[in-house]
Amino acid sequence: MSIITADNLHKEFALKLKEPGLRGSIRALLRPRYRTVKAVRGVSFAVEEGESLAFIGPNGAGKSTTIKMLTGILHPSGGDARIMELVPWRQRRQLAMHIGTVFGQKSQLWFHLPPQDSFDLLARIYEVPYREYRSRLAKLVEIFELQELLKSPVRKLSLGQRMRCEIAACLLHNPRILFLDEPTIGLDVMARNKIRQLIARLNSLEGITVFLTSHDAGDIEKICKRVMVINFGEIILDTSVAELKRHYLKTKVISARLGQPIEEFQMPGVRFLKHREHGVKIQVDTALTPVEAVISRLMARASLPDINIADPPLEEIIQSIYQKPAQEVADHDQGS
Amino acid sequence: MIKAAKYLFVARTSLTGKLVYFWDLLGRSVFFLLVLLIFDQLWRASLPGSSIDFSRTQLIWYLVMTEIITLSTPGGYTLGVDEDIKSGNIAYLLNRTCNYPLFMLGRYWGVSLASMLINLGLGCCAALIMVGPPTLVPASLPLLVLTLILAVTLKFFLTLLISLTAFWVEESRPFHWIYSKLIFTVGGLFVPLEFFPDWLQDLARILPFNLTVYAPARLLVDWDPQFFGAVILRQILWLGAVALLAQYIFRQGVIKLNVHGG
Repeated sequence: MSIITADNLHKEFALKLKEPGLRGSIRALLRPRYRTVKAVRGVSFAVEEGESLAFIGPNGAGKSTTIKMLTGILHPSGGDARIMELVPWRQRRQLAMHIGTVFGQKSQLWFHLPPQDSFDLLARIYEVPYREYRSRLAKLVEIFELQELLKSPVRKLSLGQRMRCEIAACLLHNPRILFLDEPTIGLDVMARNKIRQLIARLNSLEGITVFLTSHDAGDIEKICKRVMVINFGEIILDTSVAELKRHYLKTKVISARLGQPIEEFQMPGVRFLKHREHGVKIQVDTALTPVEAVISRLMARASLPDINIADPPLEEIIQSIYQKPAQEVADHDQGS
Repeated sequence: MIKAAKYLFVARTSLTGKLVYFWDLLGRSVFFLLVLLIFDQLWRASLPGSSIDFSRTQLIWYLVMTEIITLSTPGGYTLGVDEDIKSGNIAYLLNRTCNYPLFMLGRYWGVSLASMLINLGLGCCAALIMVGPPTLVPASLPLLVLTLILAVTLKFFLTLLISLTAFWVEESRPFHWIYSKLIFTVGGLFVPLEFFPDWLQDLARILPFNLTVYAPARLLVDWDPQFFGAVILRQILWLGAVALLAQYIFRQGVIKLNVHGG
């Protein structure tokens, strides 16, 4: 049974228009004009319990608006949604007992106090019985390695340390769904990897459903098994991360070390990205030419002491999806 | 019981957070002492020969009480509601199993209590040195504390009511500015309402602002059981009305909510 369902969810905002200059200000005051912005246009999907889903899209695509409707912060203009059978915007407080939210750019920790104080307060707010809270906190302290951080004021923690505390804070009441809105934003490589590992671990060990938005392809690759792309307020792709990598962008990158120098050769869909005396990097469109044909051609011209065949970075795949018109992506999705 | 306890815990956490900056709070109280000194000079010069029914001792202790309430409680924008709404931070607070206005009340009381304790200590010391102790009826003290609690809580809900306009208007500061000036004047911040002409006194007594500063201060310097009864009744009625209105407006605001960055 689905733990999250969205059915034809719409959200429109009335955006006040103002022309520049003093005249524009006076006109906006006397005769305000509004433009309707359709942030979300009929989004429908279902998420099963225990899934880890990346909900991605470019800026202004409708990701955060959708999350805010699913968590009950925004009332939709139309359509329906259910989170664990609850209507988020009508049963927000009941829902809050079952979900955890982390908005990467907002904090729920008290800035001047140690995280321990914020944890104590959140446990009270979520009405977690004291014993249960102590054992839950002990577990989270161990998983998130917070022992050293508990008594330092939040303002003195690094961004990575703070984010670990933020995520732990939203798990104190043992939620079944975790909504993460750009949880690794601004973090360095080490801290990002740590956060990804922790979220993936929570998903696999505790079975927490993860609903993640991020602009970082690494987050999607390391944490999620399913990816949903939203653009211009519509879902344009819903597939598994593995499928996305395997089928969506049919290119491979061959990096080879050469025994002898070779001349560049022409094949359909083959492009030399780098060409040096003892090495080449070639992009192959596998829809036009199979990888083995390119390798055979290379081997016929030189010995290959080392060769590597890689998928293009997920970042590139996502970028190409964002650039394609919605219908083209949907057709491709059905075809694959 | 659990539900009330959580808001008390918010107040406790807020108080703890504020006490981290104890020396900062103490520094700010210097302004309080300055106000007392200036007004003491004013009363010394103006009271002799005037027909006002208040002694210098009464007026200084009156000012101690009104300033403790006004300087210790977060006013206007510093309450943080406007900023929460505009920045979208309210998203976090709505996503919890608590009532946002009551959560803010807890935070307000925590912040206020830290400053109040410091201002109370400083104000009492200064007033004792300047004019000596006030004429107090010991039995009235618990009732005075009750009036003070209701006054601060009413002041919170009035401020909240103005802050909630941020759901609809882009800038709520002008409303806060007007409100603070109403507290200065018809609220009786610097002088008791008895200093005003009759028509202004009548108007001020109809409005709720005097119940937040004038009423507790007046009871401190001139205890009158009958006046206390009238004050407590009006405080409860106004508090109930303003709190209900704030809850209603908050709900309407949430429906209309348009969190930035959506």
